[in-house]
Amino acid sequence: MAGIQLASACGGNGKCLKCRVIIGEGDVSPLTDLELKALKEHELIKGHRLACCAYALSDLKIEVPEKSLARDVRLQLYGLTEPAAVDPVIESYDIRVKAPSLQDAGADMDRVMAELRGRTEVQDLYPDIASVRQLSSILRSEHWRITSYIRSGEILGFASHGYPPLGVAIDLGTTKIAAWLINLQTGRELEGLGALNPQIQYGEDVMTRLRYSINNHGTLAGSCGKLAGAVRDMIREMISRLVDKAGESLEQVTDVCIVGNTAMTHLLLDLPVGQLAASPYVAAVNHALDIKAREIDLNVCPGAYCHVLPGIGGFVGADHVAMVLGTGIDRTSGVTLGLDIGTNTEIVIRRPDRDLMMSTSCASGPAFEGAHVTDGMRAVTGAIESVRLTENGAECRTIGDAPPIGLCGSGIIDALSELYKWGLINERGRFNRTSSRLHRGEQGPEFRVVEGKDGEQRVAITQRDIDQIQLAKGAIRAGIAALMQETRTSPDMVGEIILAGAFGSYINIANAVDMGLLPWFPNATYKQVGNAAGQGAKMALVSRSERRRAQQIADRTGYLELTTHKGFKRLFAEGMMFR
Amino acid sequence: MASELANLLADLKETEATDKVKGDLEKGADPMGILAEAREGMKIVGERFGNGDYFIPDLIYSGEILKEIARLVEPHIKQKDDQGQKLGKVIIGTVAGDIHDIGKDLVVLMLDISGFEVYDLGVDVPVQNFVDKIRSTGAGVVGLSGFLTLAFDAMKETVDAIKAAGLRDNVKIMIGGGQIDDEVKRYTGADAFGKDAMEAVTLARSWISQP
Repeated sequence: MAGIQLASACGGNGKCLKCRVIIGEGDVSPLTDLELKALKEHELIKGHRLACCAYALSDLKIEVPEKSLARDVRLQLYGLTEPAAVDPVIESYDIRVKAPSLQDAGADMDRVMAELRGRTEVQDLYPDIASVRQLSSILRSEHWRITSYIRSGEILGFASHGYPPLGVAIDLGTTKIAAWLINLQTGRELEGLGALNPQIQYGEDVMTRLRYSINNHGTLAGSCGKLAGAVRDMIREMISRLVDKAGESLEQVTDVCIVGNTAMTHLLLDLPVGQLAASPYVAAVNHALDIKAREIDLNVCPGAYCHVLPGIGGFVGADHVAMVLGTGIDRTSGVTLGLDIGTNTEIVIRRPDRDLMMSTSCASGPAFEGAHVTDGMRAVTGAIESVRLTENGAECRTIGDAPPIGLCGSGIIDALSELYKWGLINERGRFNRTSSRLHRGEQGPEFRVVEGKDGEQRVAITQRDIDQIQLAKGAIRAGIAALMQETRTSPDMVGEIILAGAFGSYINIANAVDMGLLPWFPNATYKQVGNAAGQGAKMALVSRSERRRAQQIADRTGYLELTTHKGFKRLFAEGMMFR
Repeated sequence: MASELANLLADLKETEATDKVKGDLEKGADPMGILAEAREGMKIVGERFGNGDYFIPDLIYSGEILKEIARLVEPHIKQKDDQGQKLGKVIIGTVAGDIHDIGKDLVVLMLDISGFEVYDLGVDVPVQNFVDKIRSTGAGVVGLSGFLTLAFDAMKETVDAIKAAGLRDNVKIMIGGGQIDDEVKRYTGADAFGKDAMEAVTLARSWISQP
């Protein structure tokens, strides 16, 4: 284990070929059927293996091609919307307690509570058991001057005198996790951090992870096992790093607020997932939850809570509610369409004139994350993020201005939009095979975004790649169209289209409209707002009233199941076209 | 040379195709002849899909047009004859837990226009329904569709149930949908997998023509 992170899009299933390594010295397990099929003969001779298939049988010397290295992921940590007004969940009191003596031998906690009663308006104070365990030593080490944290009368824990209560907001995505450390008294953001969701090793999309969980641990509660463990470990580590970076202490972290899609929150909380994975796809709970942070193995303030925002229905979960909260779609004055494009794309439409909100989720697949696309990759250094076709070639810009090694989602969208504009693909998304600008590749005609001369990495788009993007955009457009039909909204009524999430924030809107990923509405303005789900999580973290508002959003937003929508098939077909 | 209706359908000209059918019916054209022309058009669609000129949306459109033509023609058919000899019986369904029907419907459509007698069991089909249908129809081919990864397990359960019912040797089983490949085929115990609706037809043909 040299600590080198390898790329993977398929979750170690021998499908994506992105974790390729070259064996130099040492013994490895025999070639698997998958590798024999996936790798070419000359590659096998050179010692190419897939890291997900080959096991070391001795110490090894291996070469990791540049393309196989997992790179820094461009994470969108900062939402662009306004910070929330603070309506604190946690009260904190700096207190001084008189040291006990033989004449005054009251218990430690009783002394603290007597002191607190004079300070808080809450009548019924009661200690969390873990705060009692913490108290005696901290009282003495801090010489009877401490800060105590209280939530609705419950004493959660203590810290050194004068230390403010902190909270952590977490956007638990299928691919990425983002976390922020926030001062709960001021609402000020102290630090932010991003990481890949470690559950990726058990599957790239939520269904594969649910299947892993069901097959390996059963369908009962408390059986998410490794998946829960992996993500809890990561969150615990992220919180530690945030606190370290800010120079604060873990005891101050008195509240955690988590948002994620329904599958992510279920796997984190060890809720049963069998019923979620099969029709009619129901959650164990949609209502908001307040649980002890220690129940999900977080070592923060001993009695701290973790608030999980409510979900809406099906796979439309807390992250979607947080997105609505963060963008304020629930309070817009005009007709608004909100989209968070990802492996699952959540869409919401609001009709203020009819006091109506409705959401849906569509399986757009991981193509925009670079998976199932021949030269696709995540948005990391070396990924082509924008493409413009010229008379005799293609101009590309890569992330970090590094040599190009593949296309990320925004680059793919640009490329397809340009190919369509230049007549290299028709409105069915088929290559114009008579064009001299296409090359013959291993899988038929292809367009080379990067020629691959002089030792450059060749980057090409094949017909199959276009197919994948068409399937993705067909699902998204059908989702939008179905929601509009269901709410009887016509294109000219829509005043605003809000694109949330990292992907939606980096794409070139004009190109996305040209290639038909996004609809064109005559009266709409398009707004890219960044990580709105994260913004919503932060708002709910620091404010009781925002938590109530989130529950209202969840309660009042209708859920549309797309597969049963009449005419979905035709909408899907229309959505796949380039026009 | 294909007929005018066949070409309209093949070119996915929905309004023109249905107008043509309406006109022909008014003129007293033979409804069975119209259906034969439509089938010819679908054959062209299949060819275009096969050589890469058409893609999934085109199959969906052609299916919708065909459905509309069948609806128009239906009342004019006096007695249902069997339109000649069917190639063989095929049972198709989306497996338990999964409700995706687009791929499944395309397979049903292409098998149907290729001359198979197709029993469409719908979506979220309980394992037992497949077993019962094999018994009652004596079909020799079963197609299991599934879009979700979790459908792999339902497919395996279905194949196992067919085996347990002692019917495994009577049927060939193909699977398709979503992210299915050779590995999944092996896992489920199916005989073959198809990447698209045309491959389903090829598989069914190869099995049914076998003695």
